[in-house]
Amino acid sequence: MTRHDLRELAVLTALAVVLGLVHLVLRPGLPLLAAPAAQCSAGEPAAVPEPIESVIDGGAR
Amino acid sequence: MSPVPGLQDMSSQPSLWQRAAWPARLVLAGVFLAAAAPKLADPAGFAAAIANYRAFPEALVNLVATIVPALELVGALALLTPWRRGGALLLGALLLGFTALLALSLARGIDVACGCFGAAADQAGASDPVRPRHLLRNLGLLALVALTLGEPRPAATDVR
Repeated sequence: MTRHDLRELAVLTALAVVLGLVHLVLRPGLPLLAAPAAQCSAGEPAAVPEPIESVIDGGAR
Repeated sequence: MSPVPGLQDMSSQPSLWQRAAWPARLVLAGVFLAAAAPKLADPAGFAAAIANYRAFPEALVNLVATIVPALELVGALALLTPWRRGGALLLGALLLGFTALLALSLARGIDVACGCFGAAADQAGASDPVRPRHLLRNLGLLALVALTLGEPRPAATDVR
């Protein structure tokens, strides 16, 4: 592997990254950085997990 | 001039390795073009396939899903140009990454669709879960990359 090979690799990689980013920007409905899945919507209280004891006892307590 | 008649002619003949290099390049280019096209057409589906591997942060999945097919496309097209050595290195690096990802999934026992040829191929009735044969296929493709790299650089681009 020569320096010329590495230079070609770097140029091709940069070209592909630019192409990929342009494709991503032009593509509607696909955000650049995917937001993590929301646990709850705004204004809605977050779901509180059921205490483990109530699950074990079948809700007897 | 060679003291042995005919020796110079023999040395100018392409070796078996060199003769095998251009079909190897064609096969590699065809495989990676076929892999890139459906991913570029349906990046959201490919992003979902990548997310199933659980190997990347969720925030980067879309970025990876669009850059990987672009790398495949550029590498495959470069194989058909004088920049073939750079293209072969690019595809070789991609193949090493894919192979590591597949091996990781097999080791973790995650039953995911390969997504190797886009999400549509996995959904078209032929779900293609990751299996050891995918590793063997990638090793075969890496052998084709090695053949391509064994080919001498075209004289026109031999800049040192």
